[in-house]
Amino acid sequence: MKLKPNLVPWRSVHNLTRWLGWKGQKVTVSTSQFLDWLKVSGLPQTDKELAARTGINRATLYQQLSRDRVPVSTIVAVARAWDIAPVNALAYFPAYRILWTDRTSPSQAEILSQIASSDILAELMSRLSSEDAARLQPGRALQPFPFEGSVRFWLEAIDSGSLRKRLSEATGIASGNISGQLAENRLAVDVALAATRLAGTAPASGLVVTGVLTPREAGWDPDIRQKTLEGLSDVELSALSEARLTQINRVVRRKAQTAAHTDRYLDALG
Amino acid sequence: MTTVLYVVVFFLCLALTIARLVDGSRRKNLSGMISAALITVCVGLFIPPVYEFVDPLLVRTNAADLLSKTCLVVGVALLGSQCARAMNSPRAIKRTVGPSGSIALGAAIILLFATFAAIPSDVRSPRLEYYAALPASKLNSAVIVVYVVYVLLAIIGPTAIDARRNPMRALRISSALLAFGFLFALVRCSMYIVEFAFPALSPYTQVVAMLSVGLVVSGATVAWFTARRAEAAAVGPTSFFSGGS
Repeated sequence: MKLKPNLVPWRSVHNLTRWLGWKGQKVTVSTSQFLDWLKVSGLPQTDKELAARTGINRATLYQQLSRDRVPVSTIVAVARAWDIAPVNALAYFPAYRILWTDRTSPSQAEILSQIASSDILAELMSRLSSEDAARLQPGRALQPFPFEGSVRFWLEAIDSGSLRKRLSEATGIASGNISGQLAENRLAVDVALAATRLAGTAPASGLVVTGVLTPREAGWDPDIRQKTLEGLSDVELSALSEARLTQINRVVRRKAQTAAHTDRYLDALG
Repeated sequence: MTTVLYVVVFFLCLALTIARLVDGSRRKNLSGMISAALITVCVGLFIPPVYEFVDPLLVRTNAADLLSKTCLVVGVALLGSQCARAMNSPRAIKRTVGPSGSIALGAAIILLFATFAAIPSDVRSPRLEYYAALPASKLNSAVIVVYVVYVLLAIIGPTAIDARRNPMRALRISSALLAFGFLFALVRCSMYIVEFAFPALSPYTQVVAMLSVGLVVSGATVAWFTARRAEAAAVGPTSFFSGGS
């Protein structure tokens, strides 16, 4: 079926919420923008073909289009299906135009934030003792990300001071809700992009840590994490390990407290 | 209508009590079991045919009412202490388990027996409705109301807070049910004064009372079920590092 930009009973509601200044909504693109992009890129404009090639359910796709809210994940899926660079595809849309103009590389702190604590500690142990270095298999692949806490680590890595407060003001999302998202190891795409804008860092990195783009799609060197970790001086590595151990200690304490509370509750009332 | 409600809540309480009794778990909660059993007996004696059957077996006319109220007081005391421990609220523990809690419980039982002794025993009457106009009967009911309010005011706050903050969803639900049950019980206690002016409201207050018991029993059931599931899931030593970064 040929898609039409205005089959949208939801549009008036959507526009009303925008007019009311409700900023909490997820950044999506409108159906007309999406169709424009398909046309400009020479892609098919029927939901059947799009669904077949991307693997997105046809009903889901139709619903997204009829609600006039096409999520980023759909654009990325379509781009991947037709071998278009997802960054270039997203940059077509006004909300993501910054991806076109700003192709800054990720900072060292951002890259280190996406290395799991166990890999950092393994690197430290390898440097402390040659026996450990042999035992820990030099050259082993780093754990992929996201891992528990990786989104929080990234936000902390780009935070030069009061970023969460400014982020809350800029997006209209309560800082408690941002903390809630971080606790679940996620961040809405618009919040992540706003964070990069406020921190002055690479916008594509925001899309990488939130799982929208793969590191390769954002232009990260495949070995960049390994090289950055190995390139750290002993002082830098021990400081990073100390920070991660402090964080591990905090998480473990919180888990222990939660377990103790649950045990007490179940012993008393269970 | 109230009798039907009594029967429904009675079977709900009975089911939970039996489930706790026959459950082969290593994690037996004796206080929880006793509390559930006492509240079940209390609700059972609210049902007129049960009352008519049990009362002649006892030493004095309407002793079944005393038995029912004593079960309620001790059941609420145990439930209050268990809730205070579960919520880890020092203030609630002090008021329910500490010396002040013991003194309040002792005083309530003594006053309950003393006021009951002052009520005539000529007519068998469930919930002492026949003697409702006598000051001794009013005082007898007032003792229950004051004690229940004393315990519930100590635990309702911590329970309501836990309903929002508990990290486990099932336990948040359990706390929420308990907190709503306590709230309904407080509403029922506050209606006690209104009942003097408007005796026709009595059936409605009983509905509120049974709703509160139903909610509390449901909350306790959720906690019990969660404990059983947690026990079944806990295999081997727990490491807080598992799944950590």
